[in-house]
Amino acid sequence: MSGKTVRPGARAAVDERLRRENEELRERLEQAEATLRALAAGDADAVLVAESEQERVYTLATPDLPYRLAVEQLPHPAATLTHEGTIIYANQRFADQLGAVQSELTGKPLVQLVSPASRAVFERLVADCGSGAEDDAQADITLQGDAGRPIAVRLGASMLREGALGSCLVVRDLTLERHYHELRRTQEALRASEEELREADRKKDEFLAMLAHELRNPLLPMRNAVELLGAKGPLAPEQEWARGVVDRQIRLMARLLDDLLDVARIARHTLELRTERVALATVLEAALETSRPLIDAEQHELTIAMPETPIYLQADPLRLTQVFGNLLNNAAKYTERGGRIDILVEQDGADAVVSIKDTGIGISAEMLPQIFEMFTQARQAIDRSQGGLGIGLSLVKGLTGLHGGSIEARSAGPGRGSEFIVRLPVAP
Amino acid sequence: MTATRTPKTLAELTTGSPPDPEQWDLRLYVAGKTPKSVAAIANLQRLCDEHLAGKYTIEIVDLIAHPHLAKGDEIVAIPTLIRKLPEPIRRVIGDLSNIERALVGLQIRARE
Repeated sequence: MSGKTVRPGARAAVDERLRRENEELRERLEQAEATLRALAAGDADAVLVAESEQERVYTLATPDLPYRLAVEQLPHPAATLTHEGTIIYANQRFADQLGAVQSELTGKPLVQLVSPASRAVFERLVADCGSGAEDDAQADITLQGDAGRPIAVRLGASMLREGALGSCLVVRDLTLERHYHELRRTQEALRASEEELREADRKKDEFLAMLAHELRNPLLPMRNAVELLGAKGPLAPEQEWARGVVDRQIRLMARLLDDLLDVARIARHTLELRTERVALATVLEAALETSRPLIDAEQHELTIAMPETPIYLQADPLRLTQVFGNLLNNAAKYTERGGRIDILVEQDGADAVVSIKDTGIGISAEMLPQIFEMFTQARQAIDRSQGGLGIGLSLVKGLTGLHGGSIEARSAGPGRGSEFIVRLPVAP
Repeated sequence: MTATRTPKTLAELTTGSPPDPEQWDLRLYVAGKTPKSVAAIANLQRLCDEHLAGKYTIEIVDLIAHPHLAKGDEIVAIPTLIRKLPEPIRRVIGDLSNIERALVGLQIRARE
Protein backbone atom coordinates (compact mmCIF):
# COMPACT_ATOMS: atom_id res chain seq x y z
CA MET A 1 0.00 0.00 0.00
CA SER A 2 1.25 3.54 -0.65
CA GLY A 3 1.09 6.51 1.69
CA LYS A 4 -2.52 6.90 1.18
CA THR A 5 -4.41 4.67 3.54
CA VAL A 6 -8.00 3.89 3.17
CA ARG A 7 -10.09 2.37 5.83
CA PRO A 8 -11.54 -0.94 4.70
CA GLY A 9 -15.05 0.18 5.56
CA ALA A 10 -14.69 3.35 3.57
CA ARG A 11 -13.23 1.50 0.64
CA ALA A 12 -16.15 -0.88 0.54
CA ALA A 13 -18.49 2.14 0.55
CA VAL A 14 -16.63 3.70 -2.38
CA ASP A 15 -16.75 0.42 -4.25
CA GLU A 16 -20.41 0.15 -3.60
CA ARG A 17 -20.99 3.74 -4.81
CA LEU A 18 -18.95 3.16 -7.94
CA ARG A 19 -20.72 -0.08 -8.58
CA ARG A 20 -24.06 1.60 -8.24
CA GLU A 21 -23.05 4.51 -10.44
CA ASN A 22 -21.74 2.10 -13.00
CA GLU A 23 -24.98 0.14 -12.89
CA GLU A 24 -27.03 3.29 -13.31
CA LEU A 25 -24.92 4.49 -16.22
CA ARG A 26 -25.20 1.10 -17.88
CA GLU A 27 -28.91 1.22 -17.46
CA ARG A 28 -29.18 4.72 -18.89
CA LEU A 29 -27.00 3.71 -21.80
CA GLU A 30 -29.17 0.70 -22.38
CA GLN A 31 -32.26 2.91 -22.27
CA ALA A 32 -30.70 5.37 -24.70
CA GLU A 33 -29.71 2.57 -27.02
CA ALA A 34 -33.19 1.09 -26.87
CA THR A 35 -34.65 4.47 -27.75
CA LEU A 36 -32.23 4.88 -30.65
CA ARG A 37 -33.03 1.38 -31.89
CA ALA A 38 -36.75 2.09 -31.71
CA LEU A 39 -36.33 5.37 -33.60
CA ALA A 40 -34.18 3.71 -36.24
CA ALA A 41 -36.72 0.91 -36.62
CA GLY A 42 -39.53 3.41 -37.05
CA ASP A 43 -41.34 2.23 -33.93
CA ALA A 44 -42.16 5.80 -32.96
CA ASP A 45 -43.98 8.35 -35.07
CA ALA A 46 -43.54 11.27 -32.71
CA VAL A 47 -40.75 12.70 -30.57
CA LEU A 48 -40.70 14.98 -27.58
CA VAL A 49 -38.21 17.81 -27.91
CA ALA A 50 -37.23 20.21 -25.16
CA GLU A 51 -37.05 23.68 -26.60
CA SER A 52 -35.84 26.35 -24.20
CA GLU A 53 -37.28 24.76 -21.09
CA GLN A 54 -40.45 23.77 -22.86
CA GLU A 55 -41.35 20.40 -24.30
CA ARG A 56 -42.90 20.15 -27.70
CA VAL A 57 -44.14 17.11 -29.55
CA TYR A 58 -43.17 16.66 -33.17
CA THR A 59 -45.05 14.00 -35.05
CA LEU A 60 -44.18 12.60 -38.45
CA ALA A 61 -47.12 14.57 -39.78
CA THR A 62 -45.85 17.91 -38.43
CA PRO A 63 -43.34 18.88 -41.15
CA ASP A 64 -45.45 17.90 -44.12
CA LEU A 65 -48.73 19.10 -42.66
CA PRO A 66 -48.96 22.22 -44.88
CA TYR A 67 -48.42 20.14 -48.04
CA ARG A 68 -50.76 17.45 -46.85
CA LEU A 69 -53.45 20.07 -46.27
CA ALA A 70 -52.86 21.45 -49.76
CA VAL A 71 -53.26 17.99 -51.30
CA GLU A 72 -56.37 17.39 -49.21
CA GLN A 73 -57.84 20.64 -50.50
CA LEU A 74 -57.52 19.51 -54.12
CA PRO A 75 -60.90 19.19 -55.76
CA HIS A 76 -59.76 15.85 -57.22
CA PRO A 77 -58.71 12.52 -55.83
CA ALA A 78 -54.90 12.52 -55.89
CA ALA A 79 -52.08 10.21 -54.89
CA THR A 80 -48.31 9.93 -55.11
CA LEU A 81 -46.82 6.65 -56.25
CA THR A 82 -43.44 5.00 -56.26
CA HIS A 83 -41.91 4.06 -59.61
CA GLU A 84 -43.46 0.64 -59.16
CA GLY A 85 -46.92 2.08 -58.64
CA THR A 86 -47.21 1.64 -54.87
CA ILE A 87 -49.24 4.32 -53.13
CA ILE A 88 -47.10 6.61 -50.99
CA TYR A 89 -49.85 9.01 -50.07
CA ALA A 90 -53.47 9.29 -51.15
CA ASN A 91 -55.78 12.11 -50.20
CA GLN A 92 -59.18 11.66 -48.58
CA ARG A 93 -61.04 12.17 -51.86
CA PHE A 94 -59.06 9.34 -53.40
CA ALA A 95 -60.07 7.07 -50.52
CA ASP A 96 -63.69 8.25 -50.67
CA GLN A 97 -63.96 7.55 -54.36
CA LEU A 98 -62.79 4.00 -53.88
CA GLY A 99 -64.70 3.57 -50.65
CA ALA A 100 -61.41 2.77 -48.92
CA VAL A 101 -59.87 3.85 -45.60
CA GLN A 102 -57.29 6.53 -46.29
CA SER A 103 -54.62 5.30 -43.88
CA GLU A 104 -54.84 1.79 -45.35
CA LEU A 105 -54.06 2.95 -48.88
CA THR A 106 -50.44 3.83 -48.13
CA GLY A 107 -48.19 0.99 -49.22
CA LYS A 108 -50.82 -0.64 -51.39
CA PRO A 109 -49.97 -1.29 -55.04
CA LEU A 110 -52.46 0.83 -56.95
CA VAL A 111 -52.82 -1.86 -59.59
CA GLN A 112 -54.84 -3.86 -57.06
CA LEU A 113 -57.48 -1.16 -57.23
CA VAL A 114 -57.66 -1.21 -61.02
CA SER A 115 -60.23 -3.44 -62.66
CA PRO A 116 -58.59 -6.42 -64.46
CA ALA A 117 -59.74 -5.15 -67.86
CA SER A 118 -57.94 -1.84 -67.34
CA ARG A 119 -54.71 -3.20 -65.85
CA ALA A 120 -52.76 -3.26 -69.10
CA VAL A 121 -53.66 0.34 -69.82
CA PHE A 122 -52.80 1.33 -66.27
CA GLU A 123 -49.43 -0.41 -66.31
CA ARG A 124 -48.54 1.26 -69.59
CA LEU A 125 -49.46 4.61 -68.04
CA VAL A 126 -47.20 4.05 -65.03
CA ALA A 127 -44.40 2.70 -67.22
CA ASP A 128 -44.58 5.65 -69.63
CA CYS A 129 -44.51 8.03 -66.75
CA GLY A 130 -41.84 6.16 -64.81
CA SER A 131 -39.48 5.84 -67.76
CA GLY A 132 -39.76 9.53 -68.38
CA ALA A 133 -41.08 8.81 -71.88
CA GLU A 134 -43.92 11.12 -71.06
CA ASP A 135 -44.03 13.77 -68.38
CA ASP A 136 -47.77 13.95 -68.47
CA ALA A 137 -49.76 10.89 -69.38
CA GLN A 138 -53.50 10.34 -69.31
CA ALA A 139 -55.67 7.30 -69.66
CA ASP A 140 -59.32 6.43 -69.17
CA ILE A 141 -59.51 3.39 -66.96
CA THR A 142 -61.94 1.68 -64.65
CA LEU A 143 -61.07 1.48 -60.98
CA GLN A 144 -62.47 -1.08 -58.62
CA GLY A 145 -64.21 0.43 -55.62
CA ASP A 146 -65.40 -1.35 -52.53
CA ALA A 147 -67.31 -4.54 -53.33
CA GLY A 148 -65.91 -4.46 -56.87
CA ARG A 149 -67.96 -1.39 -57.80
CA PRO A 150 -66.58 -0.13 -61.13
CA ILE A 151 -65.62 3.55 -61.29
CA ALA A 152 -64.81 5.04 -64.68
CA VAL A 153 -62.07 7.62 -64.26
CA ARG A 154 -59.47 9.51 -66.21
CA LEU A 155 -56.07 9.08 -64.63
CA GLY A 156 -53.57 11.82 -65.18
CA ALA A 157 -50.06 10.87 -64.12
CA SER A 158 -47.14 13.22 -64.01
CA MET A 159 -43.54 12.34 -63.38
CA LEU A 160 -41.97 13.66 -60.22
CA ARG A 161 -38.48 14.80 -61.11
CA GLU A 162 -37.45 15.60 -57.56
CA GLY A 163 -36.09 12.90 -55.33
CA ALA A 164 -36.83 9.24 -55.51
CA LEU A 165 -40.58 9.43 -55.72
CA GLY A 166 -42.30 8.09 -58.80
CA SER A 167 -45.29 9.97 -60.01
CA CYS A 168 -48.16 12.07 -58.96
CA LEU A 169 -51.57 10.84 -59.92
CA VAL A 170 -54.67 12.94 -60.27
CA VAL A 171 -57.98 11.20 -60.83
CA ARG A 172 -60.83 12.81 -62.64
CA ASP A 173 -64.16 11.17 -62.05
CA LEU A 174 -65.69 10.50 -65.43
CA THR A 175 -68.98 9.46 -63.88
CA LEU A 176 -69.49 12.98 -62.68
CA GLU A 177 -68.21 14.35 -65.94
CA ARG A 178 -70.64 12.17 -67.86
CA HIS A 179 -73.54 13.30 -65.72
CA TYR A 180 -72.49 16.87 -66.31
CA HIS A 181 -72.29 16.35 -70.06
CA GLU A 182 -75.66 14.67 -70.10
CA LEU A 183 -77.12 17.60 -68.21
CA ARG A 184 -75.56 20.01 -70.67
CA ARG A 185 -76.95 18.05 -73.61
CA THR A 186 -80.45 17.97 -72.10
CA GLN A 187 -80.23 21.68 -71.44
CA GLU A 188 -79.19 22.37 -75.01
CA ALA A 189 -81.97 20.16 -76.36
CA LEU A 190 -84.47 22.00 -74.18
CA ARG A 191 -83.21 25.32 -75.38
CA ALA A 192 -83.45 24.17 -79.00
CA SER A 193 -87.00 22.88 -78.59
CA GLU A 194 -87.96 26.08 -76.79
CA GLU A 195 -86.60 28.01 -79.75
CA GLU A 196 -88.57 25.76 -82.09
CA LEU A 197 -91.74 26.33 -80.09
CA ARG A 198 -91.22 30.06 -80.20
CA GLU A 199 -90.71 29.89 -83.94
CA ALA A 200 -93.85 27.75 -84.35
CA ASP A 201 -95.80 30.23 -82.24
CA ARG A 202 -94.59 33.09 -84.39
CA LYS A 203 -95.59 31.22 -87.54
CA LYS A 204 -99.01 30.52 -86.05
CA ASP A 205 -99.58 34.23 -85.37
CA GLU A 206 -98.46 35.02 -88.89
CA PHE A 207 -100.78 32.39 -90.28
CA LEU A 208 -103.75 33.65 -88.23
CA ALA A 209 -103.23 37.20 -89.41
CA MET A 210 -103.06 36.08 -93.01
CA LEU A 211 -106.08 33.80 -92.62
CA ALA A 212 -108.24 36.51 -91.05
CA HIS A 213 -107.22 38.92 -93.75
CA GLU A 214 -107.94 36.50 -96.59
CA LEU A 215 -111.28 35.42 -95.10
CA ARG A 216 -112.43 38.99 -94.63
CA ASN A 217 -111.84 39.97 -98.21
CA PRO A 218 -114.89 38.14 -99.66
CA LEU A 219 -117.18 39.53 -96.96
CA LEU A 220 -117.48 43.03 -98.36
CA PRO A 221 -118.88 41.98 -101.79
CA MET A 222 -121.16 39.50 -99.99
CA ARG A 223 -122.54 42.27 -97.80
CA ASN A 224 -123.02 44.54 -100.76
CA ALA A 225 -124.94 41.78 -102.51
CA VAL A 226 -127.22 41.24 -99.51
CA GLU A 227 -127.92 44.95 -99.22
CA LEU A 228 -128.66 45.09 -102.91
CA LEU A 229 -131.15 42.28 -102.38
CA GLY A 230 -132.98 44.34 -99.73
CA ALA A 231 -132.99 47.47 -101.85
CA LYS A 232 -134.73 45.74 -104.74
CA GLY A 233 -138.16 46.24 -103.23
CA PRO A 234 -140.13 44.00 -100.89
CA LEU A 235 -139.26 40.30 -100.88
CA ALA A 236 -141.41 37.32 -100.23
CA PRO A 237 -141.43 36.44 -96.48
CA GLU A 238 -139.16 33.38 -96.93
CA GLN A 239 -136.77 35.45 -99.05
CA GLU A 240 -136.77 38.24 -96.47
CA TRP A 241 -136.02 35.71 -93.74
CA ALA A 242 -133.17 34.22 -95.76
CA ARG A 243 -131.73 37.68 -96.45
CA GLY A 244 -131.83 38.44 -92.72
CA VAL A 245 -129.96 35.23 -91.86
CA VAL A 246 -127.22 35.89 -94.39
CA ASP A 247 -126.93 39.53 -93.29
CA ARG A 248 -126.59 38.64 -89.58
CA GLN A 249 -124.14 35.85 -90.21
CA ILE A 250 -121.97 38.05 -92.41
CA ARG A 251 -121.84 40.72 -89.67
CA LEU A 252 -120.97 38.10 -87.04
CA MET A 253 -118.29 36.65 -89.24
CA ALA A 254 -116.84 40.11 -89.91
CA ARG A 255 -116.67 40.77 -86.19
CA LEU A 256 -115.00 37.42 -85.46
CA LEU A 257 -112.44 37.99 -88.17
CA ASP A 258 -111.74 41.51 -86.90
CA ASP A 259 -111.12 40.11 -83.42
CA LEU A 260 -108.86 37.43 -84.83
CA LEU A 261 -106.92 39.99 -86.81
CA ASP A 262 -106.51 42.16 -83.70
CA VAL A 263 -105.32 39.27 -81.57
CA ALA A 264 -102.77 38.35 -84.23
CA ARG A 265 -101.63 41.99 -84.36
CA ILE A 266 -101.21 42.14 -80.58
CA ALA A 267 -99.20 38.91 -80.63
CA ARG A 268 -96.96 40.31 -83.34
CA HIS A 269 -96.73 43.70 -81.61
CA THR A 270 -98.10 45.46 -84.67
CA LEU A 271 -101.27 46.86 -83.15
CA GLU A 272 -100.96 50.56 -82.46
CA LEU A 273 -103.18 52.56 -80.14
CA ARG A 274 -104.45 56.01 -81.03
CA THR A 275 -104.66 57.40 -77.53
CA GLU A 276 -106.34 60.59 -76.40
CA ARG A 277 -107.68 61.99 -73.16
CA VAL A 278 -111.06 60.38 -72.79
CA ALA A 279 -113.70 60.05 -70.06
CA LEU A 280 -114.21 56.51 -68.87
CA ALA A 281 -117.98 57.16 -68.80
CA THR A 282 -117.96 57.98 -72.52
CA VAL A 283 -116.18 54.72 -73.33
CA LEU A 284 -118.61 52.69 -71.21
CA GLU A 285 -121.60 54.39 -72.86
CA ALA A 286 -120.26 53.52 -76.30
CA ALA A 287 -119.70 49.91 -75.21
CA LEU A 288 -123.21 49.68 -73.79
CA GLU A 289 -124.59 51.01 -77.03
CA THR A 290 -123.18 48.04 -78.95
CA SER A 291 -124.16 45.49 -76.30
CA ARG A 292 -127.59 46.89 -75.45
CA PRO A 293 -129.48 45.01 -78.18
CA LEU A 294 -128.21 41.63 -76.89
CA ILE A 295 -128.78 42.57 -73.22
CA ASP A 296 -132.31 43.69 -74.00
CA ALA A 297 -133.01 40.64 -76.16
CA GLU A 298 -132.06 38.41 -73.23
CA GLN A 299 -134.14 40.55 -70.87
CA HIS A 300 -131.26 41.03 -68.43
CA GLU A 301 -131.47 43.62 -65.69
CA LEU A 302 -128.57 46.11 -65.93
CA THR A 303 -127.26 48.44 -63.20
CA ILE A 304 -124.43 50.95 -63.42
CA ALA A 305 -122.73 52.60 -60.45
CA MET A 306 -120.25 55.41 -61.20
CA PRO A 307 -118.41 57.89 -58.96
CA GLU A 308 -119.59 61.48 -59.17
CA THR A 309 -116.23 62.92 -60.23
CA PRO A 310 -115.53 61.83 -63.78
CA ILE A 311 -112.49 59.64 -64.40
CA TYR A 312 -110.29 60.42 -67.37
CA LEU A 313 -107.97 58.01 -69.12
CA GLN A 314 -105.24 58.38 -71.71
CA ALA A 315 -106.60 55.69 -74.02
CA ASP A 316 -107.68 54.62 -77.48
CA PRO A 317 -111.47 55.09 -77.16
CA LEU A 318 -112.32 52.62 -79.94
CA ARG A 319 -110.13 49.86 -78.48
CA LEU A 320 -111.33 50.42 -74.97
CA THR A 321 -114.93 50.34 -76.20
CA GLN A 322 -114.02 46.97 -77.74
CA VAL A 323 -112.77 45.77 -74.32
CA PHE A 324 -115.91 46.66 -72.39
CA GLY A 325 -118.22 45.77 -75.31
CA ASN A 326 -116.70 42.30 -75.37
CA LEU A 327 -117.07 41.86 -71.61
CA LEU A 328 -120.68 43.07 -71.67
CA ASN A 329 -121.50 40.83 -74.64
CA ASN A 330 -120.01 37.85 -72.78
CA ALA A 331 -122.01 38.72 -69.67
CA ALA A 332 -125.19 38.89 -71.71
CA LYS A 333 -124.35 35.78 -73.73
CA TYR A 334 -123.37 33.49 -70.84
CA THR A 335 -126.22 34.41 -68.53
CA GLU A 336 -129.58 32.70 -68.61
CA ARG A 337 -132.40 34.86 -69.89
CA GLY A 338 -133.62 37.37 -67.36
CA GLY A 339 -130.35 37.52 -65.42
CA ARG A 340 -128.59 40.48 -63.92
CA ILE A 341 -125.52 42.47 -64.96
CA ASP A 342 -123.93 45.00 -62.62
CA ILE A 343 -121.33 47.53 -63.72
CA LEU A 344 -119.37 49.14 -60.90
CA VAL A 345 -116.81 51.89 -61.55
CA GLU A 346 -114.44 53.09 -58.83
CA GLN A 347 -111.18 54.93 -58.53
CA ASP A 348 -108.54 53.10 -56.51
CA GLY A 349 -105.53 55.35 -56.12
CA ALA A 350 -103.99 55.83 -59.55
CA ASP A 351 -106.24 53.15 -61.05
CA ALA A 352 -109.72 53.20 -62.48
CA VAL A 353 -111.42 49.93 -61.60
CA VAL A 354 -114.35 48.64 -63.67
CA SER A 355 -116.16 45.56 -62.49
CA ILE A 356 -118.66 43.78 -64.72
CA LYS A 357 -120.53 41.16 -62.76
CA ASP A 358 -123.20 38.77 -63.99
CA THR A 359 -125.43 36.05 -62.58
CA GLY A 360 -124.48 33.72 -65.43
CA ILE A 361 -123.07 30.24 -65.93
CA GLY A 362 -119.87 31.06 -64.07
CA ILE A 363 -116.39 29.61 -64.59
CA SER A 364 -115.02 26.42 -63.03
CA ALA A 365 -111.90 26.68 -60.89
CA GLU A 366 -109.75 24.71 -63.34
CA MET A 367 -110.88 26.91 -66.23
CA LEU A 368 -110.25 30.20 -64.45
CA PRO A 369 -106.47 30.43 -64.87
CA GLN A 370 -106.62 29.88 -68.64
CA ILE A 371 -109.75 31.84 -69.45
CA PHE A 372 -107.74 34.60 -71.16
CA GLU A 373 -105.82 32.21 -73.40
CA MET A 374 -106.74 32.06 -77.03
CA PHE A 375 -109.20 29.37 -78.14
CA THR A 376 -110.35 28.78 -74.59
CA GLN A 377 -114.02 29.07 -73.94
CA ALA A 378 -116.59 27.83 -71.57
CA ARG A 379 -117.87 24.69 -73.18
CA GLN A 380 -121.04 24.34 -71.22
CA ALA A 381 -124.32 25.93 -72.32
CA ILE A 382 -123.07 27.59 -75.41
CA ASP A 383 -125.63 28.22 -78.02
CA ARG A 384 -123.68 27.41 -81.17
CA SER A 385 -124.84 30.51 -82.98
CA GLN A 386 -123.39 32.58 -80.12
CA GLY A 387 -120.12 30.69 -79.85
CA GLY A 388 -116.96 32.27 -81.05
CA LEU A 389 -113.40 31.16 -81.55
CA GLY A 390 -112.71 31.86 -77.93
CA ILE A 391 -110.58 34.82 -78.84
CA GLY A 392 -112.76 37.49 -77.26
CA LEU A 393 -111.17 37.39 -73.81
CA SER A 394 -107.72 36.97 -75.26
CA LEU A 395 -108.28 40.16 -77.22
CA VAL A 396 -109.67 41.92 -74.14
CA LYS A 397 -106.59 41.01 -72.15
CA GLY A 398 -104.25 42.05 -74.95
CA LEU A 399 -105.92 45.42 -75.37
CA THR A 400 -106.03 46.06 -71.62
CA GLY A 401 -102.32 45.25 -71.45
CA LEU A 402 -101.55 47.66 -74.27
CA HIS A 403 -103.23 50.36 -72.18
CA GLY A 404 -100.96 49.61 -69.24
CA GLY A 405 -103.81 47.96 -67.36
CA SER A 406 -104.76 44.49 -66.20
CA ILE A 407 -107.77 42.22 -66.09
CA GLU A 408 -108.83 39.61 -63.59
CA ALA A 409 -111.65 37.05 -63.71
CA ARG A 410 -113.46 35.80 -60.61
CA SER A 411 -116.14 33.19 -60.22
CA ALA A 412 -117.46 31.16 -57.33
CA GLY A 413 -117.88 28.25 -59.76
CA PRO A 414 -120.23 26.89 -62.40
CA GLY A 415 -123.71 28.41 -62.22
CA ARG A 416 -122.64 31.07 -59.74
CA GLY A 417 -121.91 34.01 -62.01
CA SER A 418 -118.68 35.67 -63.11
CA GLU A 419 -116.97 38.95 -62.41
CA PHE A 420 -114.41 40.61 -64.65
CA ILE A 421 -112.37 43.39 -63.12
CA VAL A 422 -110.44 45.76 -65.39
CA ARG A 423 -107.85 48.13 -63.92
CA LEU A 424 -106.58 51.01 -66.02
CA PRO A 425 -104.21 53.84 -65.10
CA VAL A 426 -105.99 57.17 -64.60
CA ALA A 427 -104.75 60.05 -66.80
CA PRO A 428 -102.79 62.63 -64.78
CA MET B 1 -32.14 -6.63 -17.19
CA THR B 2 -33.11 -8.44 -14.08
CA ALA B 3 -35.28 -7.65 -11.10
CA THR B 4 -32.30 -7.39 -8.73
CA ARG B 5 -32.32 -3.62 -8.63
CA THR B 6 -32.49 -1.95 -5.27
CA PRO B 7 -35.98 -0.79 -4.42
CA LYS B 8 -36.28 2.93 -4.85
CA THR B 9 -39.57 4.01 -3.43
CA LEU B 10 -39.81 5.12 0.17
CA ALA B 11 -42.79 2.87 0.67
CA GLU B 12 -40.80 -0.16 -0.35
CA LEU B 13 -37.84 0.84 1.80
CA THR B 14 -39.95 1.27 4.90
CA THR B 15 -42.17 -1.75 4.56
CA GLY B 16 -39.56 -3.90 2.88
CA SER B 17 -42.34 -5.75 1.19
CA PRO B 18 -41.88 -6.84 -2.43
CA PRO B 19 -44.05 -5.21 -5.09
CA ASP B 20 -47.44 -6.75 -5.48
CA PRO B 21 -46.97 -8.97 -8.53
CA GLU B 22 -50.71 -8.96 -8.91
CA GLN B 23 -50.79 -5.21 -9.59
CA TRP B 24 -49.60 -3.75 -12.90
CA ASP B 25 -49.56 0.01 -13.24
CA LEU B 26 -48.94 1.02 -16.82
CA ARG B 27 -48.65 4.46 -18.32
CA LEU B 28 -48.79 5.01 -22.07
CA TYR B 29 -47.49 8.21 -23.59
CA VAL B 30 -49.10 9.09 -26.90
CA ALA B 31 -49.02 12.06 -29.30
CA GLY B 32 -52.60 12.93 -30.18
CA LYS B 33 -53.96 10.77 -32.94
CA THR B 34 -50.84 9.73 -34.80
CA PRO B 35 -51.32 6.29 -36.36
CA LYS B 36 -48.91 4.65 -33.91
CA SER B 37 -50.49 6.37 -30.94
CA VAL B 38 -53.93 5.16 -31.91
CA ALA B 39 -52.59 1.67 -32.59
CA ALA B 40 -50.68 1.59 -29.31
CA ILE B 41 -53.78 2.38 -27.27
CA ALA B 42 -55.76 -0.37 -28.97
CA ASN B 43 -52.93 -2.93 -28.75
CA LEU B 44 -52.25 -2.18 -25.08
CA GLN B 45 -55.88 -2.61 -24.21
CA ARG B 46 -55.96 -5.95 -25.98
CA LEU B 47 -52.68 -7.10 -24.47
CA CYS B 48 -53.85 -6.31 -20.94
CA ASP B 49 -57.23 -7.94 -21.41
CA GLU B 50 -55.57 -11.09 -22.64
CA HIS B 51 -52.61 -11.33 -20.27
CA LEU B 52 -53.24 -9.20 -17.20
CA ALA B 53 -56.99 -9.43 -16.84
CA GLY B 54 -58.25 -7.89 -13.57
CA LYS B 55 -54.90 -6.75 -12.24
CA TYR B 56 -53.84 -3.73 -14.21
CA THR B 57 -54.43 -0.01 -14.48
CA ILE B 58 -53.70 1.98 -17.60
CA GLU B 59 -52.99 5.68 -17.62
CA ILE B 60 -52.84 7.34 -21.01
CA VAL B 61 -50.99 10.63 -21.30
CA ASP B 62 -51.40 12.71 -24.45
CA LEU B 63 -48.19 14.70 -24.76
CA ILE B 64 -49.62 16.98 -27.45
CA ALA B 65 -52.21 18.18 -24.94
CA HIS B 66 -49.90 18.00 -21.88
CA PRO B 67 -46.23 18.05 -22.97
CA HIS B 68 -44.97 18.88 -19.45
CA LEU B 69 -46.30 15.56 -18.07
CA ALA B 70 -43.38 13.72 -19.69
CA LYS B 71 -40.75 15.17 -17.35
CA GLY B 72 -40.54 12.42 -14.77
CA ASP B 73 -40.27 9.56 -17.24
CA GLU B 74 -37.63 10.91 -19.65
CA ILE B 75 -39.69 10.40 -22.75
CA VAL B 76 -38.07 10.96 -26.13
CA ALA B 77 -39.86 8.74 -28.61
CA ILE B 78 -43.62 8.41 -28.74
CA PRO B 79 -45.52 6.17 -28.21
CA THR B 80 -43.75 4.87 -25.10
CA LEU B 81 -45.22 2.50 -22.57
CA ILE B 82 -43.87 2.69 -19.02
CA ARG B 83 -44.32 -0.10 -16.51
CA LYS B 84 -44.50 1.75 -13.20
CA LEU B 85 -45.39 -1.32 -11.21
CA PRO B 86 -44.14 -3.89 -10.59
CA GLU B 87 -40.73 -2.36 -10.06
CA PRO B 88 -38.32 -1.85 -11.63
CA ILE B 89 -39.54 0.60 -14.21
CA ARG B 90 -39.54 -0.82 -17.73
CA ARG B 91 -40.24 0.88 -21.02
CA VAL B 92 -41.37 -0.27 -24.44
CA ILE B 93 -41.29 2.07 -27.43
CA GLY B 94 -43.63 1.55 -30.36
CA ASP B 95 -47.24 0.76 -31.16
CA LEU B 96 -47.11 -2.68 -29.42
CA SER B 97 -48.33 -4.33 -32.62
CA ASN B 98 -45.75 -7.04 -32.08
CA ILE B 99 -47.43 -8.59 -29.06
CA GLU B 100 -44.57 -11.03 -28.36
CA ARG B 101 -42.03 -8.25 -28.26
CA ALA B 102 -44.30 -6.17 -26.05
CA LEU B 103 -44.81 -9.05 -23.61
CA VAL B 104 -41.05 -9.63 -23.36
CA GLY B 105 -40.42 -5.91 -22.98
CA LEU B 106 -42.85 -5.72 -20.07
CA GLN B 107 -41.43 -8.97 -18.71
CA ILE B 108 -44.83 -10.54 -18.68
CA ARG B 109 -43.09 -13.27 -20.65
CA ALA B 110 -39.44 -14.24 -20.26
CA ARG B 111 -36.99 -13.43 -23.03
CA GLU B 112 -36.38 -16.46 -25.21
